Amino acid sequence: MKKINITILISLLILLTACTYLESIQLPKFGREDLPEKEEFQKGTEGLSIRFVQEATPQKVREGSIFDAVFELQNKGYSDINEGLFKLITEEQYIKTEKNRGTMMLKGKNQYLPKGEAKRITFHSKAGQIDETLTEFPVKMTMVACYVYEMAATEIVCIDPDFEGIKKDKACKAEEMTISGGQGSPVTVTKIIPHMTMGETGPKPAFEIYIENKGEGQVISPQYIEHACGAKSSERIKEYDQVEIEAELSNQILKCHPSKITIKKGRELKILCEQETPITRRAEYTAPLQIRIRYGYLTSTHGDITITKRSIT
Amino acid sequence: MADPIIFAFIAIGIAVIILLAVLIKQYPAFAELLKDIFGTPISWIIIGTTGIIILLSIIFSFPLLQTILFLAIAIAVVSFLVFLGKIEAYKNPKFWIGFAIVAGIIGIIVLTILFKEIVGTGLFIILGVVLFAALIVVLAKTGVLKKMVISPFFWITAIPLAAIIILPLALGFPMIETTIIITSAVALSAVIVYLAKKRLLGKSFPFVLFAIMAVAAIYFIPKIFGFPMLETGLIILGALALAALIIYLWAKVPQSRSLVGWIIAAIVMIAIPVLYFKLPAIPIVIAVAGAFIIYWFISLFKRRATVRYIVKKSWMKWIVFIIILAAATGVFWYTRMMTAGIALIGGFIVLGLGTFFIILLSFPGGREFLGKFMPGFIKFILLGIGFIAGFWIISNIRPPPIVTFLFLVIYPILFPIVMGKKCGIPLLILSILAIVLLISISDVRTENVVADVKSGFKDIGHWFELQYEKIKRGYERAEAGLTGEYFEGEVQEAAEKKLGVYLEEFRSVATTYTEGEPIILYAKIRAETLTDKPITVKVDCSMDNKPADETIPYSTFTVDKFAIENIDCKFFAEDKTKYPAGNYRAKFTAGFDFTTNAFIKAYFMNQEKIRDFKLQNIEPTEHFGFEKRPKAVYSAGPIMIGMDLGEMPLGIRETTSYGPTIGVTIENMWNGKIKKLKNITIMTPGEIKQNNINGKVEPTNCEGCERGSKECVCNYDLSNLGGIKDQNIIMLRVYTTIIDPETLIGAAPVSFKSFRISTDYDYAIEEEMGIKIRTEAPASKKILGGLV
Repeated sequence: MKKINITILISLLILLTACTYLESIQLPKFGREDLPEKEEFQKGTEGLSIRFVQEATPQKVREGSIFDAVFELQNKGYSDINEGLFKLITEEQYIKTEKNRGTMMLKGKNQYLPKGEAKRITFHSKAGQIDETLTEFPVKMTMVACYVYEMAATEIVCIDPDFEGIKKDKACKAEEMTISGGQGSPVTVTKIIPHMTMGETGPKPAFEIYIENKGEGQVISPQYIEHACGAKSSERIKEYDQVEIEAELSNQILKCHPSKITIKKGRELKILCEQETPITRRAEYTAPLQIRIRYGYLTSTHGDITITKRSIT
Repeated sequence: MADPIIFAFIAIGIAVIILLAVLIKQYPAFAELLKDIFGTPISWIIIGTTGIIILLSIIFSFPLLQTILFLAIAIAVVSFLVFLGKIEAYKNPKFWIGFAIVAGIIGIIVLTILFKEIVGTGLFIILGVVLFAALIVVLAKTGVLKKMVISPFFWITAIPLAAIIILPLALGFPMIETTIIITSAVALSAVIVYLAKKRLLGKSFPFVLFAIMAVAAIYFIPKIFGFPMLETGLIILGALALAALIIYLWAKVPQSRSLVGWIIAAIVMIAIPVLYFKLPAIPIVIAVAGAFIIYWFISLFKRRATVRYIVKKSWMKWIVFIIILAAATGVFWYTRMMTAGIALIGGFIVLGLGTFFIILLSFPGGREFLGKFMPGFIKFILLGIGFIAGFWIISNIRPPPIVTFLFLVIYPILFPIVMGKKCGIPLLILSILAIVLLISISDVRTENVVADVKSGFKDIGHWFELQYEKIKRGYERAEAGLTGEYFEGEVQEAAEKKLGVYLEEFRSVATTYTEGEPIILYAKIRAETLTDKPITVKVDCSMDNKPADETIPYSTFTVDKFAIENIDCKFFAEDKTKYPAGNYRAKFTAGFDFTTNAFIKAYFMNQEKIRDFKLQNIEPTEHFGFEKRPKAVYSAGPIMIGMDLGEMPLGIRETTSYGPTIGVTIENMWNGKIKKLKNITIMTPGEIKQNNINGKVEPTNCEGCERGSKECVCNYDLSNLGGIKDQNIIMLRVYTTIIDPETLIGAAPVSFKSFRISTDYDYAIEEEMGIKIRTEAPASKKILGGLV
């Protein structure tokens, strides 16, 4: 019993004094009386934001001194981060950090966390020695984070079987829809163009969906986040940066071409999604079009630390 | 932006604007004054340019040097176009033919000097320029040129656009910054042109210029040169007040026009030898007064005519100026080389010659002769001075080699054009640019310039030698840069410490000795190092290559961290045959061993990951926040170490074996000599093994160059490498092999490494001075003391 108690005590001590630890930060919350709606949070093009906390990290450290490098992670998007990794990259010869990697879970924006959950990560570090004739030596501390994220967009679209435009007065118009402001994710749907294709058995609704990476990071396959952050083999994987798109029209799954896509930063990518079964209704009607992409994302930020000579006469 | 001081500046700026608004509203005369002072195009160019530089470099952290350079290019282009518009010569095909010939000749000269390739490349360039001129002629004949050239819109859009494309692509300048700077400069120029056209600008530019230069000087001189702020401010304000008085007298009191010039000349001729060179005051005053009396007496009869000619013909003022300058030069030069008496005799001779010319002016025949000959001669002298000045400045500011090269080509073409009629604006802008560039770089190089200027005043001949050496080094640097092998480093400011060994003072107890008298020279040496390893300094005094008989307190000493040593050198001359009467050159040399370290950052990535990033339109350098082309940083001292590893990130495959080649440039930055490069130690990451230098020099020994090691450290003995003796620029290439690519890439998207170099070398600084030994003078000739 005594041995068990000692083991528990040691475990607690290790946990408390671990070189890297995560600390929750209280962010201001809205009052209950003015709770925003879900749509309010499912906006923007940000996901995980990383900040090098300059006010908590010394800019200059002396040779051999121990210091804390602090980074702040904040999920500014709508999706929760349930699978996430982070790693600190630096010149190991000059900055020694006993534990430089870890996992993270951060809630996205919601009525209780309107700015998204934030955590601070502290790396207990030690500065190395620099050349004798140098007065200082700059070292970069870069934090990379890889996480699985989700983009979900729902738009009400008009399904109009009269693609030849014979009918004059219509309840809705099948028009190009430009979507600005994002969906609370770096990967966003920017435009939807509805079409109607004529199959052997009848008209089928189809949509040109435009997708873009509006964030600063790299889109990767959700199953390869560990590769992206470098823990696993760095050899080339064919599907490394390919993600799948899922689309549903009134809960009916659409077939998308291509189904696996590589999303580029700052460039729109066009996907054609088509309903496989023809519609039976003859009049135009509106229906919800749901688009979902589950993807991995790699983002990073850096801070600069300068190691100075211990004694400058 | 977060810096509170910036907000403080903004708040002060707003307060000043409000105050000005109130003053303008309340006092119309104040508004008139402001309009008069700030209402000229040039004042707006200066104010706007300074504002843009401050805004971009301080608030948005743009690189200062490049910001100034871009603005200068943009403004120079606009100025050049304004100039073309004024002379209207561009409409004439002959102008372009002349341009082609001049550019061709200068092209030959530059190429001959740089590459010794007069036949091949030189002719090719000439052919290109002639074809260009021919094209212009055809365009002019067909009327196309008129349409193209006359439209300012074409030039104001086409040239900046070309600069925005060429500078980032060809020279690697940052695209966004380049675009912002050039666009703002063009916009500023456009506003000024508009204001000028609307006649909203006044004429009192000199006052604005004076004020800005005075404020800049009061701010920068103490900051850069360590002068006391109060004294500097008083001196500059006093000088300005004096200048204002002279200008006032010159403008309002006609009688003072010749007198004022002579008073200034007299003050200069007396003050500099007495205050700076510590020569006896009374003989100098007597000598100068004598010179003026002689001049006054000779010119008495023809004085009225002489003054009239001096005032009437502007170039004649230059004669007077050159005569005074030559006389002063003679005094300074000979003062250091010979006795004061002989120097003054030299001064008298030069003054006599000047007086002769002035008398010659009084006669119609002489006037005609000089009228034909002198304007061209003076213009030639001015062109020569300006020509040298530009090269001197470019060799000191050390821009990237390609910029130096472009300057070397463009500057000689621009200068004769700029010296033409009504073209003061481009010249002024170039001058301001040169001054701003010179004062904006506060490092060892600027200190060297200051040291050069100081030594130049001590010994003008020696100064010209130094400048020649610097210009030569500028050519060497441009030549090295064009081969793609010159890599520049950034000096690490050692907390404002001057590291190395400096000769602060080298003097003689007397400039003239009597035969048999012991000759005593003394020097003050300042030495400082940051390392625990002391510097060993060996001093050596000689007179016409004969070593000193005694060095007090020692000829060799070690300096631990910091020391100032006073060294006396004695030459015993009891034996009169050893140092008989005559002129001697005394030389003081201080040799010391020193170490300079340098490092450069490297960023390695898996080649496949780089490809993935690029495919997604993501630039890895921007994503991970590192430089595309890192620069080496080196410790302060006599040499610069530049390093290059190519463009980052360095892509590595798991099967990669060839490593990055390290380009190294070692350049002598001081005016002394690298006596010996003793040892070079190169430190690479443990996963990178070093092979050799330049394919010839194998490492003498290596440590830690195997798998699992942190760092691979190799020493090289460069004595086996030919062609480096007495070189100011040494270029090396270090070849490497990657022995463990997987570890080098590491378990992260990118890995950060440093490559380091440590160089041990012997360096020597030296200074010379003239010593006169005379035979013992008879007692009756000792009236003038040490003068004769």
